[in-house]
Amino acid sequence: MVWLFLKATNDSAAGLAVISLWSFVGLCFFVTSLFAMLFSATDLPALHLLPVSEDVIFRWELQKFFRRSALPGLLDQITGFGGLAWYLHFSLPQWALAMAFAVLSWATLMSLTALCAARLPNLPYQAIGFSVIMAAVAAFYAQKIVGPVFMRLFDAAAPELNHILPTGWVPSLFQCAVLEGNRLAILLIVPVALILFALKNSLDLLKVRPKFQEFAPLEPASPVPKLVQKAVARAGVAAEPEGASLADIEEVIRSRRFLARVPSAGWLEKQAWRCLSAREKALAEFAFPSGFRMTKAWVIIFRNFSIMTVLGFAAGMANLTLERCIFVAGLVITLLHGLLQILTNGAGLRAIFCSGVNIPLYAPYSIGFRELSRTLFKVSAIQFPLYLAIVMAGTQLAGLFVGLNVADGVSIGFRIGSLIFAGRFIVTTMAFSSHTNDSSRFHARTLGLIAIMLGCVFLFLGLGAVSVLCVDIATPAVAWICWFAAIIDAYAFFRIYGWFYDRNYFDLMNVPRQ
Amino acid sequence: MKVELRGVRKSYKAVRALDDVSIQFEAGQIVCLLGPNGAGKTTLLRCLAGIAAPDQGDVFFDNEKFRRDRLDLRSHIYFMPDFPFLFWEHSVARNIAIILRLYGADGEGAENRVFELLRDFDMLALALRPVFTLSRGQIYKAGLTAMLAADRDIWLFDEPFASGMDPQGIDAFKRHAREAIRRGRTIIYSTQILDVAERFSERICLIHEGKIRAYDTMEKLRSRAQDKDNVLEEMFRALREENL
Repeated sequence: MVWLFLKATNDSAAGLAVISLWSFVGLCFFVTSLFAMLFSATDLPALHLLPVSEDVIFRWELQKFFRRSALPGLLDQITGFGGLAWYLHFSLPQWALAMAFAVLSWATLMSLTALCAARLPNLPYQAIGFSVIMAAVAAFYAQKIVGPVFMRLFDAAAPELNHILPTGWVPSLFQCAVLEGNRLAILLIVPVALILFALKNSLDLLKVRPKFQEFAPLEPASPVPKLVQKAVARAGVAAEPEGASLADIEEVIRSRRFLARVPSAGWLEKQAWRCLSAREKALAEFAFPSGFRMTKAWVIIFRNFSIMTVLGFAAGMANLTLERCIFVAGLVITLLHGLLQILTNGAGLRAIFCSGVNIPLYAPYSIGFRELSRTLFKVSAIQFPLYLAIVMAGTQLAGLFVGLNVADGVSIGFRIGSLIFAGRFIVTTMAFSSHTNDSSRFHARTLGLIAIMLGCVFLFLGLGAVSVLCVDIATPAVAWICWFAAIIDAYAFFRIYGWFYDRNYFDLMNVPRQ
Repeated sequence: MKVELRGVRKSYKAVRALDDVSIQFEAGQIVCLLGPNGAGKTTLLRCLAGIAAPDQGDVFFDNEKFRRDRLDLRSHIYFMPDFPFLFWEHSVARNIAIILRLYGADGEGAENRVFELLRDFDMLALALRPVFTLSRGQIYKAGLTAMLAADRDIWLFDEPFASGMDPQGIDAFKRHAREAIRRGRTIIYSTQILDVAERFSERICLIHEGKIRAYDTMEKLRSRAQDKDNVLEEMFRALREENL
């Protein structure tokens, strides 16, 4: 990858940006993996039955993480920096420096993983990682058509990427120390050192987080533990009132208050309820048992977007690079936040470990694939105009840097927004598929399903990439045709999977990976 | 509602969990699926619930072929795994409300039904507590309350007597199950406890290595057995000797 980008751009910053981005994706998956290993590994219940301390179990799980995830990460860094050194015909001392920086980059990555897991546990790491991968796959798949435009954009944004992404700080230092680059980047040594020094503290924090607990009955009179209160507060549901008597509880049940739905606080939530049929309301309640969270989230998204715009333009008066950095960071944050908001699947699709297998929560109940998907789609559709507005505004801002006119910016923004919305079909299908064994057996129909699924996803990404990025190459008509075909493809993907699902062609359960 | 499996086969890699199973469960009876560990009891229940997909053969409800998109059929079935599928961060009452609405059973009178059930299972005091503050037995009772309140035609249970319920809960469960049978419900459950199987069930379905080895009423099984006082023990002994 590094080699390919260097060859295409002839710019070492672009090569280093590939390493930064790759490490960033790695960071997202490492944090997810570390969490899974420390807090939800399926061997934890068994390990806790052993006569060993929690510290020992923590160390074992950490070692397991290290063996499975961290060492391949080191190999990635060595390969990335090695590729750069090879392409740039480094001398022996430069090679040694490149390898030293590869190790430093890996150490920073590991420390960052622990830091993120300890301090920022609630970020959607997996979704962020997959988003970047999806974008990369789309670009790779359509490289013949969109390659030149993509490379130009990537090359222009490479230095900013290396400065913004924490995983790009060591590559920036490498550029400063070994290659030609901004000498001020040497200052990045401070945050890198801080990240490395934070490792021990991060691990200590992770060690004291609550881990696996055997179910223990609580005395009815005992106060609700803090952990529970937090979870309940997060779920937005009223916990048991202090000292609720049996008479109070009887009143809640007899008066049918327990059947009352979570009240819709905001305007968007109210509109969403209005759009749903009675059955869809029951399904929406199952998928989002804590109620919808739309209005507040979109206020935050628009607030962040406004702050980013004002800050970006203000910074632009002093420094153009800083302006770009703010716009890139701001757009990434707001667009990802919006993306998560419209593509969320709720709690109903999560899996429960039961008798040695993972079974999706919805599976034992009378819930159909089509009807639940339709409900999720409607919930997304309510928020789509807001996401479209953000995407179109973002495209206009990005257009300022790449020289797009307003009309092109509007049409590209519309295509991006609507393609992401069409991606709802794929995201929903993948969410259903993630806890089934639809791809685990070598039946002809399983292989057929996998082939169809992969084909449809790649076709969607390819057509989408062409319709969005090919302004220089294809005519607007071709772009719109590709856009339309991508939407049809996403819908076809959804329907084909549903066909297999409805005919019981696979189990609604899978064996956990560990 | 009549339940039928016709030539159902189901394998997990090299293990054949169900081997050409054909069986019919008539409405209005309690059927016990009995068998050693790994016999295929849970797989059979999962096939009936639509969670496991048979490799071959089909499941029929009232002679209608079961498919996952046949929600009209699925709405008659309620499957209770050995650990109830609930929203842990929400209260027992909220979980019951969500499930009742899902089955359209939240109409007039639901409140009284839920109240009585919560009281019967000693869950009233815990009704407003989040599920994950409860013990295993209490969580099972919470799931059971939702299931009984929804009152579907076919009740499927995986190991209800190994759920951690206290004797009061087990007694209440048996009482409600017997009442349900009188209303024409069908109850199919799995267990390893022979005493329970003998006293609580109208029919016993003995499964071994994915095959149905016996399916009859206790009386008929007894009439065929040599040791009339320990019919099920004798059958288990025979299966074990077969394997040795």
